[in-house]
Amino acid sequence: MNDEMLAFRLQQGDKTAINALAERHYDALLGYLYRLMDADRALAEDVLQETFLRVMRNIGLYTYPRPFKAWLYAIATNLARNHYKSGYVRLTQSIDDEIGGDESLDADLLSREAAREVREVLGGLPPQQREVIILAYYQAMRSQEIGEILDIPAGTVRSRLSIGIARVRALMKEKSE
Amino acid sequence: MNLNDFEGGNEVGDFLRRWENPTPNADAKARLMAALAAETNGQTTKAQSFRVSKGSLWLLLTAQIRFVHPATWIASLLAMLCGVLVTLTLHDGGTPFFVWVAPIVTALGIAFLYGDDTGEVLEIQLATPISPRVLMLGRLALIFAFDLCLAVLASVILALAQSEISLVPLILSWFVPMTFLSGLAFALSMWLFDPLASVFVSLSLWGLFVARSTVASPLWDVTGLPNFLAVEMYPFILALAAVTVAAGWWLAGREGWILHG
Repeated sequence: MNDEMLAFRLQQGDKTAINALAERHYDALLGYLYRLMDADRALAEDVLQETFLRVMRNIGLYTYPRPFKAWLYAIATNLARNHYKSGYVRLTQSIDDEIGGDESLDADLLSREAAREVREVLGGLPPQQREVIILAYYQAMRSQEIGEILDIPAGTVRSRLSIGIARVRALMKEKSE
Repeated sequence: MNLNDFEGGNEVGDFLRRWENPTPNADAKARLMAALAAETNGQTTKAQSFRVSKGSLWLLLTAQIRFVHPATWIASLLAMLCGVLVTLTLHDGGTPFFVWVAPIVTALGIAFLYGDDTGEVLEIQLATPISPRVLMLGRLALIFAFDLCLAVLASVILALAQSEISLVPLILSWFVPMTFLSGLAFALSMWLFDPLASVFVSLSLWGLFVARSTVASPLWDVTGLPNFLAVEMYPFILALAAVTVAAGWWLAGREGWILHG
């Protein structure tokens, strides 16, 4: 059963549908929010939980058979943005906590260091470009889908993506120098 | 979207790839499920009103495409193509071979839209408040429209390639039986829910029509069977088509209790 049918069933009172939707989208949405929230895992999990609760409370606003995934990610993005705007205090959580394993393993250390570099580069982007790059690359979404999530035209998505990638490349070059 | 679409995308893609996905935390997931369970327990069970978005009928129609087996589209395309090629190669006056092909291709495509192998999907769809009649007619319209476009295109090609073939009479000669056979296949499928039975009846009837139209036999005089493919029979055949579609429409409304009863 596809997402739209599950969302429709949820709308009709089938409470088990939200569990199926949560199971299906949990991992990917966590990855998205985790990167969006600057590797703050606890916050990403909180926002993720709030996202699904909002889906349940506002399921009446969903219009079948529009793509459910775009609606879900739009809710998640808006909740994440609320945190940016509120100027939440970033935890100085080390990315070491996220990429697990024995600290003594060199491969693990390299992996953490590489992830930290990427995080810093993405952190150097404006939120609008960061959102688009994360959705395009890590979530493998197309311009139109991203546009639906962020409520912007597909052309604007491509423009932000292009500028964002150029900025990433410039930041990569700065780091290598 | 792929970052390789952009210049230098590979370099950026390789860089971004270094930040791996976080490993989902089982406890966090369990907390989410518990929160959802608490939320559902707190909510009333009243179903929310069904919201239909603007253009939803179009979306519903296009959503039916996924329930049509890809082989249906390909088979229609290939069959129509064969009809065109045979006509171009062997036509020497008389009724173009394509006229015999187009109607039955559509009817067969429609016959295979409904059946036991589509039952699970159908059951899911019937669980929605969208009328089963709308769903069934939607599928019928999809296949019919697709085959109609193919047949019109084929007719244009034949009319251009063969000077003795006129476009409008050619189109009429397959369009009229196509509508009847499609309606019949639809009604039979809604009644029997067995595509093979629907195919058998449609093919048999079409075979009889073609034989009556092309083969001279005293049998026709004895039985009094009219030539249903004659031009003067077109209004009658179109009326029959309307009756069969209406019958299928009525039968589709019963589908819910057929499956659930």
